[in-house]
Order: sequence, then structure tokens, then C-alpha cells
Amino acid sequence: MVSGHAYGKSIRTVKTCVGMEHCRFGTQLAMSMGVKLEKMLFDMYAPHKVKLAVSGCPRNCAEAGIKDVGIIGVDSGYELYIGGNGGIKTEVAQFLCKVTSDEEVMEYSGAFLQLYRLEGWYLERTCHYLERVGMDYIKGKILEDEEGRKALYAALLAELKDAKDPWATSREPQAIKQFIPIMVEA
Amino acid sequence: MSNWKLICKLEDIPQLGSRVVHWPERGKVAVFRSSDDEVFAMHDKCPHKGGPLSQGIVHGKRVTCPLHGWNIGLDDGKAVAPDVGGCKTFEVKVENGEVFMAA
Repeated sequence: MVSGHAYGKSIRTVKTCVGMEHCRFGTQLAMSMGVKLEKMLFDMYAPHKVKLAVSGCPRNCAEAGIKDVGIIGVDSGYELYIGGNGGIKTEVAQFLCKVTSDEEVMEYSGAFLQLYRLEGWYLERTCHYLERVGMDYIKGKILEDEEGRKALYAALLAELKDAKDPWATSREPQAIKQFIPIMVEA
Repeated sequence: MSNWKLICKLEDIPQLGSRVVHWPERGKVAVFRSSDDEVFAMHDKCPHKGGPLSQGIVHGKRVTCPLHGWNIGLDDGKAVAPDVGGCKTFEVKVENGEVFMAA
């Protein structure tokens, strides 16, 4: 993870539970869903920090109910919640929709985050943005307008496609050479 | 001291940094390069608690041990007062941009 992602107005590490691989209650692969989201949103900057969580079942070990985008695995797929906040004033995330596949999770949450990136004011968390525009407005943009949703998602992917890991150069052979000992033969 | 061993190019050592040389009879030897391209070599082992001096910060003709902040003189290998003790130093020279250590 890039250093700035831990404190910037950007995507934060996606919190997950262990998912169905390691938990008897799990219904979905929460960890791999989290990895997919984190990779998709790598280098995403926003009006304020953006926190996501993926829980593998409604017991919600990853506390998806107080995240900007919370994803809860259920037998039939995933439930998406948006606009939660765990700060001074805790806000419970509001139910957005149910989806059936990982790809849909990425599309719906990506589209919502892109909408927030476009319309949110600087320093406005999703819960405040949601309070300002109203849940019906979001539902109209994300759920009822399929074309608009796909366009938002495509715009997000297009903006993030050239994201570079700034630390990648520090792992190149030339950069790590100075840390490799020189062997002298007897 | 007429037997010199080629270690590396001067540019292989970062300025105000160091490289570690594994020398069979000597163990780990840190080779430092100062800001004015002088080169020094000594055991990569602080006289205090054995800290890796090669990972320390080089300033002037001294290196500060990363463990407890002892300052070691690069040219004489002696700890700077009030600390006492020292590291064994080795003779090095730079010729035509190449670093040699006395065998």
C-alpha cells in the first residue's frame, strides 16, 4: 500500500473478515472481494477519505455498516450499504441494493464512488454528501439509470488506469544494488 | 601492504552511504563514501553492541551507529568521546574510480 493511502483523502485499506474459506458462517470470499476492490480503487483520491469493508456474512465482523461503502456477503450474493461513518457521530450505512456477482459489486460501488468524487465537496464524507443530496437521488443515479451507472464506472476505471505505485522504482535492480553485499574471494 | 584487492567502482557506493563487503577472514566490512568522495573501511560492527555501522548515517568523517547513536570516526575507527572503544579499520584507496582494499 502506498504511504499516502493511510492518511490521505483517498481510498483506505479495505477491511475484510476472513470470509468463507476460514469461517463456518462465511457465505462469500470476503478477502478476495476486498483485494479486488482495493486493486480497482488503487490511487483513488476523493473529497475526503473513503473507507470500505467486506464482510462474508451478516454477522459483519468487518463492520461494513459504518463504512463509506459496506459490502455484506449473503447466500445469494452481496448487499451494498453506503454512507456509513464511524467518527465522532456514528452513522449507520444505508442499504443501496443487492447484487449477485463480484463484478456487480465493483460496478455499483465504483459508480457510487465516482459520483461522490464528482459531486462531493472537499472534506465532505459520503455520509454528509448523502445527507445533502438524499438517498433517492443516489438510487436514481446508480440503480435506475443503468447507462449512467456504467458510464460512471467506466469513467472511474479510465481515471485510475494509469495509477502507478510510486514505490515500484525502489524495487528495481539499480535501486536495491547498494544493499547487496560485495563478495570478496579469499 | 602491497597487495590490493579490487572491491567495486566508486560509483557503486552511494555518497554519504556505504556497501558491505563479505571478506572471508575479516567477516563483514563496511566501506563508506563521504560527501567529498573519500572512502573508508572498517568492521561492520559497532564497538558498543555490535550494531551494523553500514546502515548508519555518514556525516563528515564520522558514522552514527543506527542502534544507539554512537559516533565512530571513519578514519581511525575510534568512538567519539564520551564513548570509548573502536573498530578495526582497513586501508582503502581509490584509483581511476575504482576502490581497492589492502589484503
